[in-house]
Amino acid sequence: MDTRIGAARRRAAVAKLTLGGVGALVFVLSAALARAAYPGHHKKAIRSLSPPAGFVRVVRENQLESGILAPTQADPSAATAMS
Amino acid sequence: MSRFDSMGCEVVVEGATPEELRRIEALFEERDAIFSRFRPDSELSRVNAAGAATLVSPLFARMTETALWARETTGGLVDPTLGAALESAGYDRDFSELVPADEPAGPARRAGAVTLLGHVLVLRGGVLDLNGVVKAVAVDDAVRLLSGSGFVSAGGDLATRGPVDVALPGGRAVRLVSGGLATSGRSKRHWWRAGEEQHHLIDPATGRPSTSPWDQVTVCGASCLAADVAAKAAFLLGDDGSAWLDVRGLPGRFAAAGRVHENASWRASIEPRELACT
Repeated sequence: MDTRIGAARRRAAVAKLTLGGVGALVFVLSAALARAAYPGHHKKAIRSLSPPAGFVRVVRENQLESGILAPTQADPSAATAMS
Repeated sequence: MSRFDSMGCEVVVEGATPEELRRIEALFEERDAIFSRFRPDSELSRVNAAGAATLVSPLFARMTETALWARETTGGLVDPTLGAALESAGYDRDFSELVPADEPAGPARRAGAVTLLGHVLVLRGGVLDLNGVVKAVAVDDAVRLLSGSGFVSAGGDLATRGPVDVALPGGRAVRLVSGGLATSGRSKRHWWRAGEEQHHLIDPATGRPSTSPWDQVTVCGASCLAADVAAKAAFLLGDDGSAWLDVRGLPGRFAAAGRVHENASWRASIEPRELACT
């Protein structure tokens, strides 16, 4: 009698552990899938929205660009002098 | 056409309404109050006196960032930390108050280091002088206040909205269709120490006024700032200035002792072109 009750308790403990383990595994897998698939979760390290350094360099260099000159067409109304 | 004095030079405004003129005068007055080397209460004087990490205003940070861009773009030629060299050469007060002196100029002073971290400015081993970029940016900012066509000029550094014919040093003229035109040189802003001529364009390699062969260099840029920075760099580069401008497609006109040199970009801009008919 005691042997049958003990065996039943062992089977019940194994069943509880198995169910608990499977539940925990399903939870972890679900969380991982949600993290990988749900668009609100970032998959990589967050990076700022700043433009690439090479692009910034080109834009800064282009700030030193030319204006537009043409042959004079009237008497000067302004003068450029030494600053 | 309206005129007023600010930043140690004459400012000329064409095409402004009375309200726009009032705003332009206020803009120049504000910039002078913040960036003057000769006002002890200016923010620039406070930053130089602190000589270390200082919290600066957004406008001061913007001008410092612009000055650092100028230094980077010109390979260190136009440096904002050469204020000590200017003072050593004798430019230690408003230009109108400078008089010839018997004592020689002080020793050469090299550039320092300046770092901008947001609105925190760290200055090491130099005296900040932002006057060059501040004046040019003020001209660019002022011309944006015009609602119609016109121009703004400060000490001859000019930005326009709409074509304007501009007299050049030496008697000729050119039409500035858009952008800015600036002339840098030793002919006007110079003074004497022990019989030796000094001027405000410091060579960062020597820490002394430049020995450039040119008296003045005029450059056309997309803005007054671009023109002014390029004119200073071309002046400091001496004989290499013309090619330096051509590589960047910037028209430049160099004058010295009655001799005028126009680089290829300048000649291409003003020479009449034949229209191709197909």
